[in-house]
Amino acid sequence: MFSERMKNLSPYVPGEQPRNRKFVKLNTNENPYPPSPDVQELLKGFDAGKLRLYPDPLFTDLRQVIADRYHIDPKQVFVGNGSDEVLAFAFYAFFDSINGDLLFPEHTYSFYPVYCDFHGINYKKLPLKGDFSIDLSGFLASGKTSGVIFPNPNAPTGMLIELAAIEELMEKLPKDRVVLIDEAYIDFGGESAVSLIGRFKNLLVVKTYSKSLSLAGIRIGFAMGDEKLIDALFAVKDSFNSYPADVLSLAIAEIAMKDVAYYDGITERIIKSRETLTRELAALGWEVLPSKANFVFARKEGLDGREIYDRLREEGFLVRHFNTDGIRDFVRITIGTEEMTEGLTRKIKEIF
Amino acid sequence: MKLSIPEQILSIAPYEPGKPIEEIEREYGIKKSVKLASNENPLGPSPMAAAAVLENIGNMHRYPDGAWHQLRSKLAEKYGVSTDTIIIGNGSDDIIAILCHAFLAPGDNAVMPFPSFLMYDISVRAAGGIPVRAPLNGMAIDLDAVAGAITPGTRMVFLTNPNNPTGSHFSRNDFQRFLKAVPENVLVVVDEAYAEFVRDPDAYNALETPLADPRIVCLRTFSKAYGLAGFRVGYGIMDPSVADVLHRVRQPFNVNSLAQVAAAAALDDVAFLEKSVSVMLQGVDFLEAELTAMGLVVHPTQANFFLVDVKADASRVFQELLKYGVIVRAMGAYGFDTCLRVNAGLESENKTFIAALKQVLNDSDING
Repeated sequence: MFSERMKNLSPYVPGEQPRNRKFVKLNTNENPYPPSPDVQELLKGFDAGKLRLYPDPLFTDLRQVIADRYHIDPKQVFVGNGSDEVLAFAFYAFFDSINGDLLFPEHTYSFYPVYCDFHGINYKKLPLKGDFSIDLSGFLASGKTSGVIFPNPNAPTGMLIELAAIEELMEKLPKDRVVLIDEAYIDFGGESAVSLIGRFKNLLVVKTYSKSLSLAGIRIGFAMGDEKLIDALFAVKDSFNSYPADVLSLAIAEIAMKDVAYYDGITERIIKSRETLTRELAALGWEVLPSKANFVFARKEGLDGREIYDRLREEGFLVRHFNTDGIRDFVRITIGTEEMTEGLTRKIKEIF
Repeated sequence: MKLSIPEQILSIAPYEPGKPIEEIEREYGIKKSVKLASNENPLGPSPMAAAAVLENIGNMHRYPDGAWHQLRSKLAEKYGVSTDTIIIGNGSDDIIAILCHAFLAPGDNAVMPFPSFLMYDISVRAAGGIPVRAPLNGMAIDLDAVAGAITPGTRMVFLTNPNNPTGSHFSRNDFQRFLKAVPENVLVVVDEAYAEFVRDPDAYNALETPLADPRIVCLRTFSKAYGLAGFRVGYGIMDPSVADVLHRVRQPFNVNSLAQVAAAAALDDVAFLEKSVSVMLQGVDFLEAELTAMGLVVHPTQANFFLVDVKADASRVFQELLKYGVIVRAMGAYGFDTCLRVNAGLESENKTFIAALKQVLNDSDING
């Protein structure tokens, strides 16, 4: 009964969401702090009667709020059921194999190859540099491409590309292919490339509510780019699901984005914890890649990543291990609250 | 810039959902409008669903349960099936889309009645497949015509029971006969979005004996009888081998946390569901009697909506009704130029609609 393309699918495996035991969850890069208190207030006063009506398929109000926040036009904003869906629509709309391979870094968000297999897009993985940073020159040296995608900061390394380098890259890349920058983690210490979308009509910046805005549970992601790119995303959306984002999620997303002061506060705490953890692990002889995200990617000579993962799990700490050549000795550790991070550091001192 | 949007996407005329109330109120400068256009529950959701949402707001920084544990278990219990036969979607649109992507290779076809729910056509095209339309017989799905349209290239069939937008239904016996004519390798997707409203005891109901045939995929939704259209939760019950395939193509976190707990709570509130269904069916009966008394033809329905032939250009009647703050749907896009699709609302909403329609139809300009 199944289509040919099913045979080649290897679906994305999300980090485990344990049900039966209390773990300190440092494995899916969720924010340890609750969303803005305004969200709670909104929900207390929310008229549940509104739920009987279908949501606004154009996301009019939320697009306005996002546009105001980033000083762009609402026509330059698209919204979806998590950035996973926004990315899936973008792959469908912009990348195909006629124009060459889609380029992305070798070690990156593992969803990219999954989407490529799903849509039958040929791709080429470009090796990271020796220090695990993304080799931008690789994007330029690869000849004809159907487009470029990379997260900034990159996952799972956490390493950031500065805005000036992105600007330079955009100048040099072909103007007729889409460059997609996945900025899921940009708020933890990077500068967004959204300021460049007016100049580069082929630049699409994708962001999410799941990380810095602490709303992984509502599944809202968004894309910002030239109106033509956004129109194309709407055309794809309307071919899959008229209403991918629900009434309450949209309302929550609107109110959360406006509370800049609250989010600046919790982001600062996460950054501080990240710097503390990085320092402490380094003092214990670990190698920690310089991260600008809400996680660190770390290894210790003589230890296998799987072993670190297993032993921490026994002790009640969930981190993420990728059983992939080249990064097998690393674990990815999400930055939790100060308390969670201290607990982890204590445990690591004890067992390794 | 030249975008590489695939041909199959460019060939699609996007689904045009009914406009949100706010947009229409802005456009026409009206307040307190009555929307009877999207077959939504006028009572809204169960208070238990709203309470469950409030109880769970503390977990919003966490990703939703990608396996929909709680909701899936409740559904499994309700229908006496195992959880590996259930797929939850971000609305049943989501499940329709992933079914098409999983089962259609470019060039394969899917047979569907026409007119029926337009998303089948759109999703099939988006997956690179070819939609094959089997015309209705009058207002009813012609199961013989659907079976007759199946070719060696057919991978799936869509049926809507009751049918949207006509409200018609088919019987258990007719479906059994149809199934015998369907090849072993063709999936039969029965979309039962309106099953909770069905009154005819002979009507086919895929969940009466769930999983009776491995080819049957039954789709249901929380958007209609359960009053949770705003939350986007649909589900499908199907053979585990089919569900397994959908797990490979779906988004891992396709249904958000609050939607999951709201749907689970709504499922528990059986009394509220019964009340909602009864209010809507009373509304259907009231509207049918009033419209018939006005000399209009109401097509028989087993849903919470119906088609009424207003014997005038329905798109103009639709526009005129907007001026009275009444939102319904004109059915020109489905080939019924003189029909409106109206769903039952609250008693007061139904009365407002009837009064407005009388005014509009009395306008000689419309009739002329």
